[in-house]
Amino acid sequence: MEEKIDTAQKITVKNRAMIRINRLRKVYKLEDESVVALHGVSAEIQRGEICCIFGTSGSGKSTLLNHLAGMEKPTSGEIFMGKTDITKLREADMVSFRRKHIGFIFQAYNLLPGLTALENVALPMMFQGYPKKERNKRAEDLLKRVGLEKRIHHYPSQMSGGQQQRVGIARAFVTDPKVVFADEPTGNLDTKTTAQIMEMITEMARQNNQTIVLVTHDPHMASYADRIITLIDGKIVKDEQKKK
Amino acid sequence: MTWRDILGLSVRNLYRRKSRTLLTVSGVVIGCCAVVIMISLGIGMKKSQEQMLEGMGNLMRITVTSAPQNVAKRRLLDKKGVDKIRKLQNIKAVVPKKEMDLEELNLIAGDQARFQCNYTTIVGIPEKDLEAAGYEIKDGKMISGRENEVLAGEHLAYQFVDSRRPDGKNMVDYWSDENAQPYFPILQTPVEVAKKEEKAADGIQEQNSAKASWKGIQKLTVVGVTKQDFDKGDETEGGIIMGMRDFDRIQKEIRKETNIKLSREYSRVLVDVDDISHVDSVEKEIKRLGYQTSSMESLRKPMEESVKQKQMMLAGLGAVSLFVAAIGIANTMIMSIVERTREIGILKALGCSLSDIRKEFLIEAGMIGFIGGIAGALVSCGVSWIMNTYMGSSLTGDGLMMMEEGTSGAALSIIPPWLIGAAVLFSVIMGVGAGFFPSNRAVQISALEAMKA
Repeated sequence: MEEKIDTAQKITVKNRAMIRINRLRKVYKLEDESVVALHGVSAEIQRGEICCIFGTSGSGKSTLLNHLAGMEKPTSGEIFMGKTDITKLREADMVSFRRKHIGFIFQAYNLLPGLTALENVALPMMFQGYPKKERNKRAEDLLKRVGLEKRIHHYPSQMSGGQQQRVGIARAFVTDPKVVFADEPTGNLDTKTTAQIMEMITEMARQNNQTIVLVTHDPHMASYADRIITLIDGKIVKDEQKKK
Repeated sequence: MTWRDILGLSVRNLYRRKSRTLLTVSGVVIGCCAVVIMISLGIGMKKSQEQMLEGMGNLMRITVTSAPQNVAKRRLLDKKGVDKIRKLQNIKAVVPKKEMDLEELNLIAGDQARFQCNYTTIVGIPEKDLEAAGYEIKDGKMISGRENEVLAGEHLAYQFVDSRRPDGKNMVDYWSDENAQPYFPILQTPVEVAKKEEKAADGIQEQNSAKASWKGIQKLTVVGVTKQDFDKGDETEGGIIMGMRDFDRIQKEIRKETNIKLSREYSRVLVDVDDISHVDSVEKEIKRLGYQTSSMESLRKPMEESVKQKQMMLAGLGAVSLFVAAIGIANTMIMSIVERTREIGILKALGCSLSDIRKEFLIEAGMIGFIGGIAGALVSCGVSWIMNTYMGSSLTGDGLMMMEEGTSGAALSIIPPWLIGAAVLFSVIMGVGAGFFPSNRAVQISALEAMKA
């Protein structure tokens, strides 16, 4: 029954789906027991969609994100990003795939402490081999858009959490990626800043019709999303589409 | 990522951990310094040995003489033989010489044979080889080719006895008196090879007497005086040098009067080799032709071997400390990678290619080597200077090398430019090598590290 639906979906949404997860299963083998983190998860996320993966700790949402970002290999199943099955990519190819198509916003900001805000934002472009002038200009634009024009040459340690995360957002969008993964982007921030940050992310994404996959355990975050996928114990239990 | 960007990141990372970088670098400095100083001592040793050997004679000279009669493969050292030697490889110059001692003949000069010289050697050299013989003209000019033109050795003029002065005071003492002048200017005075006619004159000793009668054999014109240089030949001291045509003719003339042997063979052939490393092979070739040879090689070889051994030992000592430095670099890099595990995860999550990560760490390690190498080379130069200034040159050690202070002017430690270049290059290679394993570890760090909260 399930299989039939899958094939049907494949045909109808062939080219529209940005991300297509197909019966993704992940089993962690520990010494004497195995833990099933993902029980054959299937879902499709469309281009331009802001999708929230919601779940409590241990629900498998982080595992799912790690798989979507190609940092872990599933036990079985596949993940298509566009036409590429990223579960089949070797690590070096996956890194290059991320460089070209994926942006990242982390809970712990993950700015490089030795680099200024500008350099941190320009980093993904540096990986792509853009000359300094070009990437700095673009990074400066983005820092302005997140309201940090006065902090361009500050180091992460000289900025507040909210400011650091805004640098993180600028960095995620600097290469114009098709998909941006956000892992509890406001987990370390207060409510007021959270709202600012979330508005910033969604606004940036909508401008360029980019897909956002937002992982969170915070129900308030859901309000920023077009679609909420709820995970419990490695299974999708709810998949609700909000009306625009 | 461009090379410049990778380099930039590496520099920043090193700068961020200043104290640790500095400590690791100082390890390399010490290692590099040890190697450079040890090698420089070896070079100094070799140099002073070379200088000493050079003082003993021309190292690239092989003197060829005919082999003793009992050698089976003996060949005549005649024109044909010399032509064979000339055809050998790696030869710069070949100068055959015929020598003839005057024995009972004398050289006379001045009015009524007033000045007499009863011992000298006449050397004949083929005209075309005169230039190659390399005589330095101190006074006058070179033989031009006119008949009976000769060169006189620097001190030939002093060998003449003034027969009109009393015994014991009839020679110029040019040894103790630097300003001494010979009795007559040899350049302007015709000199003659002559035979003293022994007259049985009633028991009266007629030696040194102007009344003795002389039978002239050959008149010579001294056109130039050579500078004394035993390397070119003893004749530059007190002999007479002439072209081979003149020599052969005079020899025939003299033969009429005395029983001097006429020989087609050359007394000796001087062979100059183009490089010191070829002396051995050329000498062997000439021996194979059937001649006897002598050179400094038999002395130089074992000395060179012993210096080589000492050099190896010294370099080995230095290499140990460099090896320790390499371990230091590897250790620092591993520490740095452990510390930066998360950072490397972030780089991977953001799409930094694996090869760029590897390059970054290799460059970091290489930079430690590079900085250490440069600093080490500079420190070595300083240490070398101090050693040369305050320690003198006594480390050469070998019994043979125990020359008087100052005879071997070579410095104790010599650092040629190539050594500095090699030291820096080697340090860099060592750094990169030491960074190889750590960088592999860095590449294996999972991007998941970035996701840990």
